Amino acid sequence: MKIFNQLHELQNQGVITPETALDISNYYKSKNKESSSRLTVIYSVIGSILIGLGLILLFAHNWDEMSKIAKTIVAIAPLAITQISGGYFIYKKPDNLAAREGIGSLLFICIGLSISMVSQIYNIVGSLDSFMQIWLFLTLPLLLIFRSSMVAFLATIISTSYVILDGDVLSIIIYMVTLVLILTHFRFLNKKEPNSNYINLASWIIPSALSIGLCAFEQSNDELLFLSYFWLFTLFIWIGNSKSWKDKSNVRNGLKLIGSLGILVMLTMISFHEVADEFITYKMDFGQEWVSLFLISIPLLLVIILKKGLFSELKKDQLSMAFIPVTFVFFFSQSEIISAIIVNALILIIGIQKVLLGLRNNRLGQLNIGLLIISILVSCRFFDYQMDLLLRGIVFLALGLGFLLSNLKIIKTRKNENQ
Amino acid sequence: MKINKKTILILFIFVAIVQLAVPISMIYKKESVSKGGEIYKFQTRPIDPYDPFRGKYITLNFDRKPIEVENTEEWENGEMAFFTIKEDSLGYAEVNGISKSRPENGDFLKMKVYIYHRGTIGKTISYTLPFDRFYMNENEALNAEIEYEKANINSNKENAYAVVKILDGEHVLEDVIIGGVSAKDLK
Repeated sequence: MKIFNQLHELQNQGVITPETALDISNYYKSKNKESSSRLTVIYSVIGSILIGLGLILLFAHNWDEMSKIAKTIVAIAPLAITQISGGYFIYKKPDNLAAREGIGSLLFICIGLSISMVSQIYNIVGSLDSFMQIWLFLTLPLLLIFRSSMVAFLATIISTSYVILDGDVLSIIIYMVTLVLILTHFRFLNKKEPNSNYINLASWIIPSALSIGLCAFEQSNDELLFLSYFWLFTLFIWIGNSKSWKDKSNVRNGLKLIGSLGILVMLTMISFHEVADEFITYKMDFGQEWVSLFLISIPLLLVIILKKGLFSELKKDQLSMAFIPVTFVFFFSQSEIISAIIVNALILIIGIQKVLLGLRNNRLGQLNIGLLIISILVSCRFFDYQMDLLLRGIVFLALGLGFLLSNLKIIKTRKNENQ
Repeated sequence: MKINKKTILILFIFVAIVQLAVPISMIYKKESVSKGGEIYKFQTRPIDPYDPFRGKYITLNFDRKPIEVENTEEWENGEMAFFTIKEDSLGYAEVNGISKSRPENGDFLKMKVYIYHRGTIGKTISYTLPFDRFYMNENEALNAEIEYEKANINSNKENAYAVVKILDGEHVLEDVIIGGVSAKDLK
């Protein structure tokens, strides 16, 4: 490696002491080891999945010529073989991460394959959701046994698809139990390795899955579900701003990004007065939607109580507090006009706050997001009202100038600072 | 949280047995019906979708006569009931009765109760036969599907039927005969 040659040179020139050179070379050696073990994990997962798929294709090629017994053996054997190798690794090499991830995901797939192949051999007609239910029951213990994040991701995907397809009370309960198990897994991992790639990936996959899964709560009161989404996205932003997450870059903090984007999209939707009108005409009758609101309120409360210092962090981001006026509008506003004014004002305040913060902190990204929010708000209002073309022209000109001037200002300040 | 290696291994062995037991019990159940079950021919009617998990199959649609009952109020929509099966004079299977308890003699199928037009048009109970998919090779399913449609459009009732074995309420769809030939042999 180039660094080792340079170390040698620096040591010969007397720039660093031999001890420092040794420390530096040890550091890079251990770092290399880490990254090569990470690669082994990735290769073992991809390899396992490819082997599984290859086997299926190989057998599918001669499927018709095979006797029923041969077919059933083909359906069961991959599962049994993977189980035996799983047992071997648990006993002999329980700390081998690559093996745990690889065998865990292969077993997950083999179970689904086995059941669907037997169903096909015997023409068993079952619904897709009941198939997913059995698949989930049989694979969830693997999460505990192999402590595999890939199993957790696969289980997230299957359980979300299951709850969306089925949607009855039992499926919602199974979905929530699955999620609690998956979240517990990632909570432990986050404590142990907060910067692992699995944690970064989970910060995208889990909020996305939760956002999709929340639809399953829809019964007859979809306005209320709209409010549940506000609360859920707020929860994402709150956790994304908590101590272990707040310093991560945007790419590594899907929670914050999905939450912020979700809140913005929802706010823009109810800024149209027709939607606001529907939004406030919710029904008091009991439905699953109330359950979803109640369930989201528990972690919201827990997060704010347990995470010290979170509140001062949240004060800086008005998106994290947008749910308060929205909830107020939802329960107490009687007039669609007042609701629409409150929501529009809220979006405007968020936009202006982002612009000001961007200008103050010299952050181009923040500034442009703020301007984008204001532009979207203005464009949406053009759909609502028949405004004069001249007025529209002037507003867009003003916005365009705002974009240009503020960006130029920041670039100039940066240049001055550099000089 | 550190769990003992041995405990994990025992847990894994237990889980692995349950995982294997599910497909094996499915096979066992179906094999015992296949060996000892009574053969019935269910006449079909016309309709090849794609099941993302299970490959290609023919969708079967059956001639189903609703069952006349004295009072539909005794039955809930969607409840499971025992439907008795017998052979008609032409040698085809016919669903001829319904009961809440397991019939002591004769073959039966456990199916969901469907009541349409409660109280307005007759007092009848409908049902959906639990074997409406016959899995086939992907390349041959389309051909078989076309032959199946042709046979069903012809008025000759003997053209297409499903061969089903029934034992103690369990069933196995063994074959689909189209114009006297097994669907598997239609190439």
